[in-house]
Amino acid sequence: MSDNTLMNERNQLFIDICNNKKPKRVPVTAGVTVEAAIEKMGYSLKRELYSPEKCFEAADEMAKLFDTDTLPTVPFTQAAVFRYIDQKFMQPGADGFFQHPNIAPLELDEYPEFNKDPFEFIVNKIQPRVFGILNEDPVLGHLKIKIARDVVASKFAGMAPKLVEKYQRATAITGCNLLWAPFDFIADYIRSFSTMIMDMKRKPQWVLDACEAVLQYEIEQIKNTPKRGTIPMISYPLHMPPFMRHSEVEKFWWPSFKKLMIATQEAGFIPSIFCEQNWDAHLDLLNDLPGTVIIGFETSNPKLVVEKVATRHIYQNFYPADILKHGTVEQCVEEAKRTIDTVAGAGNYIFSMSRGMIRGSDFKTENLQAVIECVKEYGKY
Amino acid sequence: MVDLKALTASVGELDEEKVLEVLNGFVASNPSEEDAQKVVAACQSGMAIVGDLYEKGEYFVGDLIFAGELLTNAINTLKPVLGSGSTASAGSIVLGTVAGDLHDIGKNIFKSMCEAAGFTVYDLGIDQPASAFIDKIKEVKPKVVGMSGVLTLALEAMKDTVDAIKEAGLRDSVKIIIGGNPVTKEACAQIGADAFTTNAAEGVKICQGWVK
Repeated sequence: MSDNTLMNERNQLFIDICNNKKPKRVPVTAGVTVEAAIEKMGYSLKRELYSPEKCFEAADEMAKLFDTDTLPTVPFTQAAVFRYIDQKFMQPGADGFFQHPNIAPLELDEYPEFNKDPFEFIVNKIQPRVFGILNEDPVLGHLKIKIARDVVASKFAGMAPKLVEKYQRATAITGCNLLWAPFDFIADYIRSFSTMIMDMKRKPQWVLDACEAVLQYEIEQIKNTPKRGTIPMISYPLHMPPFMRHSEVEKFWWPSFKKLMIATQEAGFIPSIFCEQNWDAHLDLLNDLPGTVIIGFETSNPKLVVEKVATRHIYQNFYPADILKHGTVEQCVEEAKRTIDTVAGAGNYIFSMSRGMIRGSDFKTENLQAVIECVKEYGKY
Repeated sequence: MVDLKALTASVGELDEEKVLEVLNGFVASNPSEEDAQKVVAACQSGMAIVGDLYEKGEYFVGDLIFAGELLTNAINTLKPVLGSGSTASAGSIVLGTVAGDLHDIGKNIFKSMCEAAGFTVYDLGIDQPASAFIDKIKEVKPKVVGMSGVLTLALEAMKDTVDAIKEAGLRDSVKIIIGGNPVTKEACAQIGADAFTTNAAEGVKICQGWVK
């Protein structure tokens, strides 16, 4: 039987912090995507992203290089599924890297029908518009999609636990479960970022009704979400508020989101939200969330966050990712110390970069390694 | 004739309903082309107010997107009375999202704000190789080239594009501005662009400075 002492110690850091107890030191995580890992290996996204073996090899190498408390790279990608089903939301650029184009599969006058039953509308109208495979073969298409997802998942099955065990990383929290704030879901997948802005001004009631309808749809999804890890979590990347006036966020974005957070907690999950871009104009709202929420910040002002956001919440991210690409080791380490000094004082901070490393060229290996080692030492309480 | 100051204010306040009501009334009054040009100028001044409010932090990106849409609707409403004689262009800009990047929201905001400021914009679209920029530069001889991108790798594509423009012997004939999430002062220097911005309103001012 293997000795999991180190893994247990690491798990304890997250268990303590989630129980509002100061951990022994600042837990340190780093999000290196499988795409970035593949490029770091010198492999091509056009080829090796479709090889589960190469994805595993790349994730193994990242775990070897970066001694973070959780696995730096999760060996999993749905790239093959995206390609097979011709997913219009996820299209590869010329170099094979998948991106999310700004498309609006719902027409404006279809809002009332969508709002009546989002699930029905998504399956019957949205998916045929965004999954090419359903155009070719509508009857068998959904079955083919299900099989493709299962086949790909089976190819990656067991890889992450194997690496977790081998490199003794924490399993108490995982970021596998992902959902969206209702407004963001509509902006990302139904009406597009830019048309959603128009809808809010021109058809405010339809947008409000759509947020409530999507909220109910998502609450159903929460019920079907598996509880993984000691501290079951659902992650929510939050997109739109930095691009909206505060009064609009309060009216359109926040009410359905707050209800979703409450539903998440009532279902036994801790919500992990990521405030993308700059939330300085909306920080006060975060105290309106009940219980403890893990809140990641990208470019919000750290001092303002400490001043405004209650310490019953857990802060995450903050470390300015760009310096890992351009800075020297010394500069990167100094920045890590500065980040800890600013936000870790109350013992409610999980170290991570301001955003994930999504391309191989996003960071220098020696910079990230130095930062991780610095946080483990300098971040002791 | 419409109250031009009030029209400018309505555009600045993003009051689409009021703007279109005023413009529809104006078009119905069978105005002269000269008056129509004054109305266009009043709308453009309203867009300048939007840009200023964005820079002050009172407006957000969503407001810029809506402002672009509002102006497009306004100009379309005025088209029947604008006639064939178009207003003098402030200058021309070749604009595109660089190779490997499929994002266009920021580019489109910059485009509409440049058009509102009187520039003629040739929009290449997304994921554009250096050759597409070069072909268009040769064809329309712009004063400015704008490159946009959201992904960090866009910086490399921007550098490749600037290098290709140099190789084609076109670098001295254009000013180059880069924009988007990953651009920084350092990246601008490394890429060899003349200016950078993450703020569309500021970008328009930079371009206006170049064509004075």
